[in-house]
Amino acid sequence: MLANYPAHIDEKVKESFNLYSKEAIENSSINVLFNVGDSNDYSKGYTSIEGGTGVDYFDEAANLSDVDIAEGYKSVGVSKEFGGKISVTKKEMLNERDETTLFNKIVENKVPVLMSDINNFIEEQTMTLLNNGFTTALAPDGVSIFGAHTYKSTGAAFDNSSTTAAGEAALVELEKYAGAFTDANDKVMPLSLTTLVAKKGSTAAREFRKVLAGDNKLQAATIGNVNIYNNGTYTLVETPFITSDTAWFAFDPRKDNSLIVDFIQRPTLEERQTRENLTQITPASGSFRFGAFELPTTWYGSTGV
Amino acid sequence: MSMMFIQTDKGLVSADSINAERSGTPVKAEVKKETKANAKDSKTTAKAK
Repeated sequence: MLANYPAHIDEKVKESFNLYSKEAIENSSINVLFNVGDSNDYSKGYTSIEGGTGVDYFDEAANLSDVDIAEGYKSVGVSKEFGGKISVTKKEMLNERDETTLFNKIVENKVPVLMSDINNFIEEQTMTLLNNGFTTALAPDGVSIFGAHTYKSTGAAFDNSSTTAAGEAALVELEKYAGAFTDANDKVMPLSLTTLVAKKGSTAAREFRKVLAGDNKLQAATIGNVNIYNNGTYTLVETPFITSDTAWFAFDPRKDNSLIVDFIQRPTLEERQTRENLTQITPASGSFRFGAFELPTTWYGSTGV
Repeated sequence: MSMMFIQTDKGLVSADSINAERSGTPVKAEVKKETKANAKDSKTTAKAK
């Protein structure tokens, strides 16, 4: 029998691609750092809530005071499609007369490359939220994610950016900032910025590891391409997708994460098609949006220089 | 190629347009009409307690 893909082989490849792809995202740094989810809304509106005020004592049988919810900036996230395809020419198919060999060739050589490239694309793109966070990646107030922000509802301000190098001084600065953080109404909104982020193997990561080790033994774990160190208080996440050697970031893992990645369609292997020249095309695509769609009150970042 | 549009007094303006304007690149502001995109407002969880 001339080499061809029977339908059930297509199904197997498709199924393994989709499963692997989902698992790869779950094991990636973006799953640790960002608010990753699935959405049915191609476009979605977000409103930052900046605080509430009005709780007070009340006398017997008196009406309770209204709590005013301070609504902040609004933004809209729109999804974009991404993808790529692999091609098998007629000649390649004729060279592989045994369908099992052909199946193996496709699976072992081409599909994994496609999967890997797609997952790499997703991480690289979404990580621009941090890599461009001091410049072009914006928060819904139009200011860089790490910059001097102003609450829309009251005009109060906070600055979640720094230039302090990673190390002991950075942790002191971070803890002071976190403990003194206030919401739009100047009410105490304590943060625990206990997850630190730096480039894998960078100067910043090494400096943090030295400080975090201190008297404690660091618990280390590796998930996918991400190294995670924990000293009981802080967790240091090292990802290769950060571009700067000195920059570091921190966020409060217990609070809502305003850096959002929403998949409208997770990476999926599409139906195989035959072109006029008999080349077999197997596309893989997905659709997502990402951004700081809400005010990044729970994030802090430093260029480190 | 913007995925993010910010509500301004001109309507929804793309993050790319804001960056371009800031960097001095003369571009026509990309203003998104408020259509169904804005109809669904997630009313996200309160960040400040």
